[in-house]
Amino acid sequence: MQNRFRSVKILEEVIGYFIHHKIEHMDIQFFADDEKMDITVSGVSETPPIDLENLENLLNESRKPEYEEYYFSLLGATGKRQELPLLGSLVDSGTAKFEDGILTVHVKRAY
Amino acid sequence: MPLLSSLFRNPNALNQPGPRQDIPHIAEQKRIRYLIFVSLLTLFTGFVFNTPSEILKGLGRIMTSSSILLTDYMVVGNIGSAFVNSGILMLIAIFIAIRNHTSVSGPLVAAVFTIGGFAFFGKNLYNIWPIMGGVMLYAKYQNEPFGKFILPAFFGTALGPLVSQISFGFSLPPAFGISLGILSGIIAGFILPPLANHFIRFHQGYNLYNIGFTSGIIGLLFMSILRGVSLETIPTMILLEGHSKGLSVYLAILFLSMIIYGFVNCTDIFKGLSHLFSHPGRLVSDFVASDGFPVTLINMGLLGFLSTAYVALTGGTLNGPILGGIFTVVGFGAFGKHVKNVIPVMAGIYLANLVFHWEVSSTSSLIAALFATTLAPIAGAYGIIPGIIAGFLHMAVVMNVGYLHGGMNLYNNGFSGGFVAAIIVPILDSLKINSHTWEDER
Repeated sequence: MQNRFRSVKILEEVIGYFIHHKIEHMDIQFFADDEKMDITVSGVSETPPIDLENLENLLNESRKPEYEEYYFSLLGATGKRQELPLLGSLVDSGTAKFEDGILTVHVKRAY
Repeated sequence: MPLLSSLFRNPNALNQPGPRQDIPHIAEQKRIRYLIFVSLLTLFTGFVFNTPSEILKGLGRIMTSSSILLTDYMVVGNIGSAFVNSGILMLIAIFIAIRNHTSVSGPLVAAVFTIGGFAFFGKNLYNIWPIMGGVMLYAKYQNEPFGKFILPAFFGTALGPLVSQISFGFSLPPAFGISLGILSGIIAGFILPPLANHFIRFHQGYNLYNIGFTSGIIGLLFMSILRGVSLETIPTMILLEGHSKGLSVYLAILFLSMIIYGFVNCTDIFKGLSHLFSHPGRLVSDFVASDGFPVTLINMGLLGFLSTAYVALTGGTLNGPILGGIFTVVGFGAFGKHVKNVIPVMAGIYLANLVFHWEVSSTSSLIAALFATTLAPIAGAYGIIPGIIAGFLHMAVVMNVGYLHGGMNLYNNGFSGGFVAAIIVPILDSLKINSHTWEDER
C-alpha cells in the first residue's frame, strides 16, 4: 500500500509541473500497484515550456535508492515549489514532449 | 531591476537549472579514491602532531568521554588522536557506502565530510555504532536494504553524545551505563528515519541539516526523560587554543587539493561554476549529479578557503569544533551550498554579533557563523537580504535551543535552522517579494 501512496506523490509532482506552467486542464492516465507505476499527464499549451528539455533530462537521471526513505515526503503538492531533480531521482525513466499544442509528461518506475 | 532582483527573489518563479549535459564524467572509482585520499590525509596528519603511542592513549580518552557539546577531542585526547579519529570514521563511512552500493553523490560526500568534521568534537569509534545499528534494525523491520537508509544512518550519528553521555557522563555503574547508553542509541537510531522523513516538510528543505533538526527533537525527548529522573548534563566548553598555524596548513593542503583536482579534470571551469552558482541549493541539490565532480570539488575548496578566512578575519582560533564547522560547510559544497548562497547568511551572523552581546571571535559565534550556512538555500532561493535576515535570526535562536537537548545533539545549528526556516519561509512566500529570478538575469 505504501508504494501506491508514493505513486500518488509522484503524480502530484507531475501535476505541479503543469500547474506551474499555467496549464489548467489535464488528462491523466494513472496506473499504480505495489510492484510498479506508470503515469501519463497531458494538457493543452500554446507554447512549449522553456524548461522542457531540462525536465526530460532530469527524468532520466539514474535512480538514487538512498533518497527513497529520506526525501520522498518532499515530493508532492505543497503548491509552492517544484522538486523536479528529486522526481528524476525517484523514477526509472520518463519523457516530456510538446507536439501539436499538447504537452505530455510520462514517468514510470518499478518498486 | 537586476540589482533589486538579486536582493530579493521569488522561488515560486524559479526554473530549476537542471543537469548540465556537457559535464566531465569522473568514474565512480575515481570519486571513491578521492574521498579515501581525504580520509588518509586526515589520518596521517595526526601523526605529524603526536606519536602513535600518544594517539592510542588519546583515542581511548576520546571514546570514553561524554562528548556533549562542546567537547574538543583535540583537548580530551590530543590533536593527533582527533585527526586519526576523523580519518578512521570517514574511512568507515566510505567502506559502508561501498558495501551498500551507494554512489558517490552530493549527499554522500556531504555525509562523509560531516562525519569527519564532527569526529573532531563529538563522534567517535564507540558512539556511532549504536545509532547506525538502530537505523539498520529499522531497515530490517521495514524489510528494505540498509542502503536506502544510509543517509539518516550517517547523519544520525549526530546523536553520538546521547550514547556517550549515558555510558560515561552520569557516573552510572559502568556495565549498566554502557548497556543503557548503547540501548538508547539503538532506540534513537530506530526512530530516526521516519522522523527525518516527516520533519523535512516542516522547513520544506530550506534547512540543509535536516537530520540536525530531527536529532534535536529526539535529543529533546531523551533529555526530558533523563531530567525526569534527575540526570542533567553539565554545560561544557572544552576548547583547544594556540595551534591555528599547524591546523591551517592542513586545511590549505586539503582545499588546494580540491581546487587542483577540479582544474585538472574540468575544461570550462567558469561556465561550470556559473551554472553551479545558479542553484538555489534547497534540498535535494546534488551538485555532483547536476554539475559534475570536478566543479563540485572546486566549489568545496572555495568554500573551505572562505570559511577559514571568516575565522581568521574575525580573530578566531582554529580548534576541533571550528574544524568540524569548516568540514561541514565544505562537505555541503556538494549538496546545496556555494559561495554565492552562504555569504549572505554569514553576513547576517556577523551583523547579529555587532548587535547582540556575543563576541564575534568566540568559538560559539564562529560555530554559529559556519553552521548557519545550513540556511544558505534561503539566500539562494529568496535573495541576499532574506539570507542576511535568516543568518541574523539564526544567531539569536541557536543560542537558545541547546538547553532543550542538553548538548546531546551535535547538530545544534541544524535544530535551530529548522525553526528559523520554518518561520521565515512561509512569511517570505506570503510576501511575494519579487517575480525575478537569478536565472532571468543570466
